[in-house]
Amino acid sequence: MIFARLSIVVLFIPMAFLIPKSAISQVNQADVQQIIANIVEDLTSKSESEEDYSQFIEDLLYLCENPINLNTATMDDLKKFIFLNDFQISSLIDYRDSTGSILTLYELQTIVGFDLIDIQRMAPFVKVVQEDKTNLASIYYGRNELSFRYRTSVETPIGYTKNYTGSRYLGDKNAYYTRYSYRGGKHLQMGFIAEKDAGEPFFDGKFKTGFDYLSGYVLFTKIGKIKKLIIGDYHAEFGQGLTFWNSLSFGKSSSVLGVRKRADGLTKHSSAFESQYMRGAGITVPILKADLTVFASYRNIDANISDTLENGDLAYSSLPETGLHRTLSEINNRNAISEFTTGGNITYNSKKFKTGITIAHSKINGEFTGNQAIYQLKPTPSQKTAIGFSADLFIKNYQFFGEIAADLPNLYLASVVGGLFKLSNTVQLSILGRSYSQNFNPRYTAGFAEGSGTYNENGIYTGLSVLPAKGWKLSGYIDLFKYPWLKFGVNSPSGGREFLAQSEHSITDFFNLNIRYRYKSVEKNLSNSINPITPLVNQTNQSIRLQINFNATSTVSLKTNLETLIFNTDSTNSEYGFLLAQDLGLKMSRIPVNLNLRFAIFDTPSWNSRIYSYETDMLYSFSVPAYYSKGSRLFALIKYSPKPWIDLWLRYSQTYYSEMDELGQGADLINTNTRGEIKTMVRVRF
Amino acid sequence: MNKRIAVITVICTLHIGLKASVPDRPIAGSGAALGQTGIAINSSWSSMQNPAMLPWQKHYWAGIHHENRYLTQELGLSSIGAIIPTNPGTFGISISHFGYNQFNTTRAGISYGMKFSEKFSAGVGLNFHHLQIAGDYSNKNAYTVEGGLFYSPIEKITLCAYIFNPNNTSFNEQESLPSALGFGLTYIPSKKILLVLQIDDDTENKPAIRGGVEYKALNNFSIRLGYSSGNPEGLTGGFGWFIKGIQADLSFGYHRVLGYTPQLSVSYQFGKKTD
Repeated sequence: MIFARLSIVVLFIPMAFLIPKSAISQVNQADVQQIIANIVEDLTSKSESEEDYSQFIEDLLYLCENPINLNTATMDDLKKFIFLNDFQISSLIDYRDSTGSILTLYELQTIVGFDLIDIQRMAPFVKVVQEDKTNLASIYYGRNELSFRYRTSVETPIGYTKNYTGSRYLGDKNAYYTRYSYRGGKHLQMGFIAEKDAGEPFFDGKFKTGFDYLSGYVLFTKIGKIKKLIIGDYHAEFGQGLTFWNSLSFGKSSSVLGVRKRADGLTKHSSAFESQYMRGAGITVPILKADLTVFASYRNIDANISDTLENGDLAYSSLPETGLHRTLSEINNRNAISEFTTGGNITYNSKKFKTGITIAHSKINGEFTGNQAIYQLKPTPSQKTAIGFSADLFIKNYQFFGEIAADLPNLYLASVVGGLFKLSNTVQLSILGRSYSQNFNPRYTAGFAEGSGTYNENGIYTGLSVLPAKGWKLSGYIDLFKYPWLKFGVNSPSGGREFLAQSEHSITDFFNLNIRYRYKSVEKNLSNSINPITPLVNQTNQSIRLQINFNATSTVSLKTNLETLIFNTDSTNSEYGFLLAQDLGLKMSRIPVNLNLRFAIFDTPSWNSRIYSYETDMLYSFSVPAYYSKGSRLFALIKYSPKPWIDLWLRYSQTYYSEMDELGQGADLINTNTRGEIKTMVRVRF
Repeated sequence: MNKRIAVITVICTLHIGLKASVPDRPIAGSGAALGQTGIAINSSWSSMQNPAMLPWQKHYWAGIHHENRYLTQELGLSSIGAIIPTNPGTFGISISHFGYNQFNTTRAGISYGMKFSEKFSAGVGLNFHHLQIAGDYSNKNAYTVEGGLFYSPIEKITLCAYIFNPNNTSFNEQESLPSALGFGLTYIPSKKILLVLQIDDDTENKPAIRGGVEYKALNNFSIRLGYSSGNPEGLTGGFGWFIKGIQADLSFGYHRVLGYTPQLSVSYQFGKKTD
C-alpha cells in the first residue's frame, strides 16, 4: 500500500509539470461563473424554457467560497456536485479509503471514471488538505450577499401607452430584482427576494408591500437533534418525484446517468419563480436510523375566480402560474385563493440501501368550475392526497431505483423503475421505465417524463455513455413513449420517440469540438382537418448542432455555434431552420473586466423550426432564447469587479428581424423590427 | 384468432407498396437482440448474414433459429445454417423459410469467405429464392448474389460492409427483391462489452440505424440490449449462453404497434468447448 501510494506521488510530481500550463491556469484562474454556466448549460441541454436556476447557482457559488475538502467529504457532501454521477462519487470514496488520503487534485485522473473535464469542473468547489482546520470565524461570522438587478426593454410596447384600447399594463416597463442572502457557517442560512416584473405596478398602492413579489426563508441545519428546520418559503423533494417534488428538477439531458433523481428533502426557495413553492415550515429529525420530515404550508395562490358558490366557497376556472401581474385582470387573479399543503416523509438510508415513504396532501380552498377539456376524464379535484414508496439499491457497479405512488382515494398509480450500470470503466448504461396512469394527478410531482406532467405516459428510456479515448466522450439515449389517453392537441392515444447522440471531444486543452444530433417524432392532430374525427400525423424535429470552443490565448476565447433544424409532418413539406452564432470572450489581464460578445444570424421559415441557443448572461440570470424568423442578434456583456467584494454587470442585447414590420402581439406589440434589452446588476458581499 | 387477423392486416397494410418485401432470412444469434444488426458482429450466425465474417470462424458449426413475428403463427421464420472451414477459405450454407401454407418464401444460400490478411477479409454468396402464393398465383424463383467486406484497423474495432442483390434481380415485375447496402461498426472497449452500430438501406424501405450493447455478465452468459430505427422499428433485448459448445440465444423484439417477437437460436460448435 505504501509503495502504491509512493508510486502515485512519484507519478504525479512529474505529471504536474507535464500538464500543459494552460490546463492548470484554467483551473486556478477559472472564471467560476463560467464554469457554473457550463454546468447549467449541460444539465439543461434539452430544456426549452427559461427556468430560474438562481437557487442552484447560489449553492454552487457558496461551495466555491467554502470548498469541500476531498479528504473529509462524506457521500452526502459530494452529492451536492450534481455534475458528478453516483459511480464517480463512490469510486472517489473507495479510492480515498484505499489510499488513506488524496494529495493533489490531479491525482483524481487515475480514478476510474474521472476525466480532465470532470476535474476542471470540480476544481473550484473542492480543496485537498490533510487536516481540515475548522475556521471558527466561518462558523460564527456569516457572509452577506446583496444584489440588485434592473432590466428594461429599449422599445416601448403598445400596452404601456395611454391610448391603448386593450387591457393596459398598469406599471412601467422597468423590472427590478433584489436579492439578499446570509450564510452563517454550516448552520444558518437566510434569504430574501423582492421583484417587480416589467409592467407590474410598483409602490403605487396596488400591492400592499409595494413589490409584487416578496419571498424569504430561514434555514437551520444540523442544530442539535434537528437535521433541518426551514421557516418561510421552501420546497420539498422526495424519492423519484412521483409523490411530491416541487423544486427544480432536471429532465432528460446528455448526461445519461442523470435519470436517477437525488432527492434532498426540504430545500429553500430562493428564486423569483412565483409559483410552485410553499410558505410555512418544515423540519427533518432523525428517528432511530431513519430521517423523518414533516412540512406544512398555507399561502395564497393566483386563481381566476369565476363565481362565489352558495356555500360561500370561491369557484375558480384556472390557476395561472406565470407570476405576472400587469393588467387589471392579472392583478385581480393575484393571490385570489388560498392553498394548504402538508406532507411527510420517512427515509431509511444505509450505504447499500435506501427506502422511503412519502405522503402529501394539498387543498385549494375553492371549487374548480372551469371548462373540462376533452382529454380530461374528470374534473380536477381541489383536494389531492398521494402516498408513495421509493427504494434505491446499490450493488457494486449497479444501482437500482424506483418509486410507486398512488393517488388517493382512487388508487390511480404511477411508477418508475430504473437502473444505472457501470459496465466497464469507460462504458455506462442507464435504463428507466415509467408507467403513469392517465388519472394520476397529485398537485406537486416531477417524475421523469417526456410529456408535461407525471400522468398519462408509459415509456422506456435507455442511455449509453462511452469514453473511447482520453478527452473524448460519446453519449446518447433512446426514449420511446406512449400516451395511453388523449392530450392537449392530440385527440387520440398517441406515441413517439426521441434519440440523442452527442460527441464531446477535447482535441487539445484549449480546443474542443462538440457535435450533437437530436431526433424527435411525436403524433399530433392534423391541423385544419375537416374530418369529424381528427387524424393524427407524425411531427418530426431533427437538429444537428456543431460547437467549437477555442481558447486562443489566456485572454481571448472563441465559441462558434452552428445549428440546423429540420421540421416536418406527414402532411407538410420539410422546413429548415438555421443558426450561426459566434461568441467572443475577453478577460482583460490589467483591469478586472470581462467582456462577452455574440453575433448570430438566424433563418427559420416559422416558429416550428425555431432554434434554442444558450447565451452567456450575468450571475443568477440564464438565457436560452428561441431564435426564429429571419434576422440577426447580438449581445454584449461586461463584468467589472473593481474590488473582491463588488461586481458590476451590464448587458445589452438586440434582435433584428428582417422580414417583419411589427413584433409581438396584443399589449406586447412594438412597431419596429428590432427588439432590444438593457440589463444591469450590482452585487456586493460583506 | 381475431388478434392474429388484426396483426396480419396491419402487417399487410404496412407493406402496401413494398411489393414482396417480406423477411426471407432472419437476423439470428446475438444480432437479433442487438437491434437486428447482422453485418459487423464476428459470430457464426453473423457469418450467415455477411460472408466476409466466414473466414474468422475456425470450427465446424451448425445452428437452428426460429421466430414468430409479433407472436403470430403465420409469420413464422425459421432457418438452419452450417459452417465448413476449409483451406484457404470457409464455406457457409443456410436455408430459411418464412410464412405459412397460403404464402411462403424459401431462401437457400451458399457463401464463401477468405482472409487476405489478419485485418482484412471478404466473402461472396449465391442465393436461391422461392416464392409461393396459394391460389391462381404460380410459384416464382429468383437467384441473387451478395458480398461483404471485413476490416479491423485496430483490435478493438471492426468495420464491415455488406451488399445484397446489386444487379436488381426480381421474381418478376410485380414481385421484386430489394437491393440493399449496409455498413456496420463494432467496438469492443473491454473484454466484457461489445457495442455495435449499423446503418443500412434497401430499395424498398427507409434507411435504418441500429445499435446495441452486449455485456458479458458472467464467463458464459451475456445480456444484450438494442434498438433499430426501422425495418422493423423497435427495442430488442436478450440473453446468450455458451455451455460445452452449445450456444443458445434468446431474444425479443418489441414494436410499438405490433407487439413482441420472440426469437430463439441454438447452435453447436464442433471442437470448441469453452468461450
